[in-house]
Amino acid sequence: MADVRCPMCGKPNPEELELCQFCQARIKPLEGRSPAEEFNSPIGAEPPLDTGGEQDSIDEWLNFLRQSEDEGEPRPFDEEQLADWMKEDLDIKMPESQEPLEPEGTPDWLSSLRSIADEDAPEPPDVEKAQPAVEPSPTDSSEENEIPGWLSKLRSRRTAEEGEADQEFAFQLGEEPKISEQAGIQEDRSAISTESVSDWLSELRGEEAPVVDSSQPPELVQEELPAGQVEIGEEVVQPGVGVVSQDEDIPVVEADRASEIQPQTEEIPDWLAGIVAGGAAVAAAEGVEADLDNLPEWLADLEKSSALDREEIVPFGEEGEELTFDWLQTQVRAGQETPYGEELTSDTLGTEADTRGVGPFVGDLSDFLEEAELSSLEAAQPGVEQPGGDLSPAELPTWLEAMRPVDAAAGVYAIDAQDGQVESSGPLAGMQGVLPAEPEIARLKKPAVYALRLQVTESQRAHASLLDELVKSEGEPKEIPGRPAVTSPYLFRLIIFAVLISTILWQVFTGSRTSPLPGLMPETFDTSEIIDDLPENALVLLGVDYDPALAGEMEAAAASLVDHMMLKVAYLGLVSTSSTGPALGEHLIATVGSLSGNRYQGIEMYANLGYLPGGASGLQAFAQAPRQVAPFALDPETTAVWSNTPFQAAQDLAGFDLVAVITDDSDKARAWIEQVQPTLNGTPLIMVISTQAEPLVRPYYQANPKQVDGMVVGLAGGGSYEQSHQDLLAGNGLARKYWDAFSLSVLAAVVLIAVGGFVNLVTNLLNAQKQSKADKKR
Amino acid sequence: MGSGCDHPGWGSIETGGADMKIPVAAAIAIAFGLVVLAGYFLPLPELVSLRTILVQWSMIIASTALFVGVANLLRVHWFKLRKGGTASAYSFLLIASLLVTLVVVGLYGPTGSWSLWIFNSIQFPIESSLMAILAVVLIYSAARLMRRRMDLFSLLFGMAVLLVLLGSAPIFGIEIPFLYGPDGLRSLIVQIPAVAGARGILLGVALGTIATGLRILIGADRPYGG
Amino acid sequence: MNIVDILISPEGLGLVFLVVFLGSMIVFAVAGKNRPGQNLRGIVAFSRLGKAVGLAVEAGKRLHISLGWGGVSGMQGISGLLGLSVVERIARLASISDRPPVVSSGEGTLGILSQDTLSKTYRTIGEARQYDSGQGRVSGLTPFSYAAGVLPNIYDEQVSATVLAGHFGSEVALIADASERTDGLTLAGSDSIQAQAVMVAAAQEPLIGEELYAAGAYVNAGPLHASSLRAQDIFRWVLVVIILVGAALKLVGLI
Repeated sequence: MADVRCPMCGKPNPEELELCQFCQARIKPLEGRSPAEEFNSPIGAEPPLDTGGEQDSIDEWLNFLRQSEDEGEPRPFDEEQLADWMKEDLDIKMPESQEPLEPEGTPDWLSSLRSIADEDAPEPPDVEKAQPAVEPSPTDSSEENEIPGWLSKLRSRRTAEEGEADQEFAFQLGEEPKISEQAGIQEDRSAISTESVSDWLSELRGEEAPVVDSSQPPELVQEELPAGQVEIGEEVVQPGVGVVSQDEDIPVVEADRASEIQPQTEEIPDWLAGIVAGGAAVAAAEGVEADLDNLPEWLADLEKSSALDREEIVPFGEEGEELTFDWLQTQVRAGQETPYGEELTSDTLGTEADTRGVGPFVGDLSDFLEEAELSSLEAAQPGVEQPGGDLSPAELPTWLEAMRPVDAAAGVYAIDAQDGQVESSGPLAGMQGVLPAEPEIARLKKPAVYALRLQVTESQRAHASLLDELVKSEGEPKEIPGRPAVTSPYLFRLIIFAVLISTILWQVFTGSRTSPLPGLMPETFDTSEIIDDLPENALVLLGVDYDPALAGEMEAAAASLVDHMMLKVAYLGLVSTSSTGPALGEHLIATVGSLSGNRYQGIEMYANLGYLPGGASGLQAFAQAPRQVAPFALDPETTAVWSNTPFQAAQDLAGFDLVAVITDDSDKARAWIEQVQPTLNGTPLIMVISTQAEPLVRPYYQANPKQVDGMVVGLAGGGSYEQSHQDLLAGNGLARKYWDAFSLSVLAAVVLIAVGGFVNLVTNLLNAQKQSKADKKR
Repeated sequence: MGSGCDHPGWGSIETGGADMKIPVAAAIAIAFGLVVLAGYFLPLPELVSLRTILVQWSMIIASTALFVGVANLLRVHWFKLRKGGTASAYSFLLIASLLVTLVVVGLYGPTGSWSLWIFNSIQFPIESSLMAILAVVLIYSAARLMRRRMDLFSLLFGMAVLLVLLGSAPIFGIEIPFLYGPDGLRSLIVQIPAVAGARGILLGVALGTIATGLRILIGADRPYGG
Repeated sequence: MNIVDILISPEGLGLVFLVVFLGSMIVFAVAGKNRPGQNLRGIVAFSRLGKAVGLAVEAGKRLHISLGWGGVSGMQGISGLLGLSVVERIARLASISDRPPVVSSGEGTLGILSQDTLSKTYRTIGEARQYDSGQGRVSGLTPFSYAAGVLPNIYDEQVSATVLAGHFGSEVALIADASERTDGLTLAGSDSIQAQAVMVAAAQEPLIGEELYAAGAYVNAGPLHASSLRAQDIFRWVLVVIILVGAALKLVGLI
C-alpha cells in the first residue's frame, strides 16, 4: 500500500488514513467543487468560504467538524442549548454523553445543528454524479465525503425560505437531505441558508470567474493523479496545499474553496442547468474536455447549447478585448426568448440597461428570469398570496432583479441611455450604471489648467500694499516736525524769570529796606560769643569750601563774621578742599575789605594755604599733619607758613584758636566735622553753612557734647549776625542789602509754585477724568 | 511689577566679578584697602603710620587725577573742534580759555591779580548765573511736580516747600508768627522731620557705602578694570 | 591693650560690625546663588531703564550716563563707583547700538575709570573696535561747570535717556531739565541729600535713599550685589532697634 504524505508535516502515512498519525492533519481533503462547478453553481447555492478571518474561522470549525465526523464520534450537544423548535421538530435523540467537541466559541445553534446532522446524517453523496466539475478525492467513500447533516439541512432550510425559486437553488453536498421532506424544517433551512446564499453569490459576482469553455463540458475525473491531489478542471489541487499546477488561463481556486464546492442537487432548475452547462463549456475553453459520459443526470439533462461558439465566448479577464454579451444573447435565444426583448449589445446595454446590470450567465435564462420576475411582481402586489402560505416574500438581490424579463417589465428594465456611462472594459463591459472600479480621482483625465497668476484676496492685497508702502517709506527722508519756538513750558519759565527779576530789580532801583532783619538766633549768638572771646592776633583757620555759584549767599552769610575776626586782628589761614576755594577765599577777603574798610593784604595778615585734594582723605591728612600737607602759602613768594608766619606757633590744628568752615555742602561740612573736629582738642569749630545744609549740620550743633560750637545759617543767619553787630561791615552788610529782594523773591516763588502747582493739578485731574471716560467707552 | 532682574533686557546675572583670575591691580587694591581699614580700627602704631602714608599717597593720586581730568577735557574738545560743526566754536572757546588761564595762572600764580581777575570776571559771574537759572528751574520743577507725579507724597512735598519758603523771610515786612522765627513752623519742619528723614537716608547711604566698599575690598567689584 | 579692649572700643565695635556684615554678605551670596534676584521689590526706575536701553538701540540714539563729581574717595566716591557698575551693564546691552553710550564725569579719576570700564566691557564682549576714549569724558571740574559741560552732551548727541548715578549737588536739576526738554528719560540717584531733594522734583525716575546702592542688584551686575542688599536690609533693622532702644533708655534716664 502506498504511503500518503501528510501535507502538514510531510511524514508518510498509510493510504487509508484520513488523518495524519503524527500531526493529526487531514490527509484526504473533504469533497468540494471544482472552480468551474463553483462558477456554474446556481444562484442561491452555498457560497464559497468567505475570505479573510471569517474564512479562517469557518475553516477551523469545519475542519474540526470533519475531524470529529471522521473519527466517528458522536457530537453530543447540550440539550438545553437547543431551541425548542429544534427539539420538537427534529426529534432529536439526545446522546448520553455530552462531550463538547466543537471548538470554543461555536454558537449553540450551530452545535445543535450539528447534532441534528449527526443523527440524520445523510448518505454521502455520489461525488462523481453530483459534482461533475469537481474531482472527488481518491479515497472517495460515502463516509469520507459525508458532510455534516446540519450543514445540508442548513442549506435546505435556506432554500425553502427563499421560496420556490430558492428551493430550486438549494443543494446539498452530494446527498439528498432527508429532512427536506419536512416542510417546516425546510423552511427553516431556507431561512438559515438565505444569508449564506447571498454571501457566496455576491462573492461569485465579484470574483473573477474562471475561464471556461462552454463548448465542452469540464473534465470531471482525472485519473492517475498523485495521492492527495485533486484535479479540478485544469487545476490540480492538493488539499491543504492549494493548487499544485494550474492552467494559466484558469484562475486559481483555493483548495479550501475547491473542497467547499458543493455538488448539485438532482432537482436543479432549468436555468441552473443551462448555467452549469455553460460553465462547463467555459471551463473547457482551454482544452478542458468534460467527460460527457460521466456527467450526472442533472447535468446530462441540461441542454447543451450547440449554438455556443467558442469563439464567441470572451474569457473574462482577457485584456485588450472588449467583452460583449453575445454569448449571453445566444444563451437566451436558445430559450426562444430574449429576456430583454431585443438584441443585447454593449450599446444597447449602455443605453437601456438596468442599473442592476446583467449577470454574465450562459444558458437559458428565460425560465429563472420569468420566475424571478414573477416573484418580484408578486412581491410588488401586496395582495397576492405568496406560494408557501405564510412564507414571507423573498428579497431578491438587486442583481437578480436586474435580470427580469424585459417584456414583463420593459419599463423597469428599460435601458436608460441617459443614465450612467457604459462600462467599456472588464467583466461588466457593456453594462451601464456600474460602479466604477477605480475611484474618480484615479481615472486618467486631462489635468486641470491653473492660472499662473497668484491668487490673492482683497485683504491680502491690502496688506501687501501697506507693507510695500512701509518699506518704501523707510528709505524716504522724513521731515522732522520742528518744535514750536514757544511752548507752554518755555512760557512758564519766562514768566518765572520775569517775576523774579522784577522783584530784584525793584529793590535794586528803589533801594528799599523795609523788611526787618531776623532777630538774634541762638546759633549766631554762640558764634558771636566765640569770636568775641578770641584773643588778639588769634590764629584762625578758615575753610572756604563753597562753590562760586553759591558765593552770593555764602559771602552774605560769612562777611560779617569774617569782618568780626578782622576786627580782632586774627591771622587767617585759608584752606579749601575744592579747586576754586583759594580763589573764593581771596574774593571773600577782598569783598569784606571793600565793605568794611578793613583790608587784609599780604602774607602778614593772612595766608592762603591753597587746595587740599582728596576730599575727606585730604582733610584727614591735613588734620593729622598740616605742616606736611600744606607747607607753603599761595602768595607770590610761596612763603613757608609754618616757619615764617604766626602759624609757626601751631604744631597742628589744635594749636589754632578757632576753626571756621564756610561751606554750602552738607557733606563737606560733615567731612570737616568728622575728620577735623576730633583733632581740635577743644578748639572751637564754627560753621557758616547754606540753608540747604542746615538739616544735616544742626544735629552736630545740637549734640551734647557739641561737635559744632556755632552756626551761621544762610542769609538769615548772616542777617541775624549783622543785626547783632551793626558796626560790622560799616553797616553795609550784604545780608541787609539782599534781604528785601530775598523776601520778595521768596514770596514770588511761593506764589508761582502754588499757582503753577494748582493749575497742573487741575489739568492732571481733568486729563485723568477724560482718560477714564475714554477707557470706559472702549 | 517684578524686580528689575526679571526684565529680559538686563540679561542674566553674570559672574564677572567672580573671575578666578585676580589681576595685579585687584591684588594691590585689596591689599591697600585692608591695610587702611585695619589701621583705622586697630590702634597699632605701625598700622597708623602706614595708613597715614597711604592716605597722603591718595591725595597725590587725586591731584594727579585732576590733571588727567583736565587733559581729558582738552582732548575731547580738541576732537570736537577737529570734527567741526556748530558746537566746535564752543570747543574752541573752551580750549582757548583753558590755555590762556593756564598761561596766566602759571605766570602770576593762582592768587595773582590777573588770575583773580579771570576768576572774578568770568567764572564767578557765569556760575552765579547758572545758579540763578537753577532757581528758575527749581521753581518750574516744583510747579510741574503735580503734573508729573500726582500722589500724596508729592502733595506733601509741595506743601513743605511752600511752608519753608514762607517761613524763610517776612512777607512785605510782616513776619508771619506761626511760621517765622526760631519757634515757628518753619524751624520745626527743618529741625525735626527734615533732620530725621535726612538721618535715616544717611544711615541707609552709609550701609550701602559699607557694602560697596566691602565688595571692592574683597574683589567682587573691580571698577578699576583688570 | 588686649584684644578685648580693642573690641569694646568704638573702633573695635566698628570692626566687628564690618566683619559680621561681610560674613552675612557672603552667606547670602552662597545661599542664593541659584536664585539670584529673588525677593527684590520692584523699582519702576530700573524697569523703565531697561526699556529705555532697548528703545535707544532701536531708535538709533544713545544713552548718557553721568557719574557726578564725587571722585572715588570717601562716601562721595562710592556712588560714583556704583555708577560705573551701571555703565558696564548699559554698555553691554547697548553694544549693538549704532551710537554707543557716553559717560560724563566731573572729576579726573572718575573719567579715567569710566574709560577703563568701557574698554573692558567692549573687550569682554568682543567689540573692542567699538570703544572710543571720547566716550568717557570729563565735562567740568566744578559742579556747575560740570553741569554746564553735560548739557551739550544731552542737546547735541541725540540722547534718548540720561542716567545720573553719582555724587551731585543741586545743579543736577539743570541736567534733568535738559533731559526733559529733549523728551528723554531721566533716571537720577545720588548719595547727596540736596541732590535727592532736587531730583524728586526734576527727574522722572528719582532714586531716593539707598535705592541707588541697589542698582547693582537690579541691573545684574554681580551675585554679591543682591546678597549685600539683603545684608543691608537686615542691618538696617538692627540699627532701627538699636536707635529705638537707645532712645528709650535715654528717655528713662538710664543712659
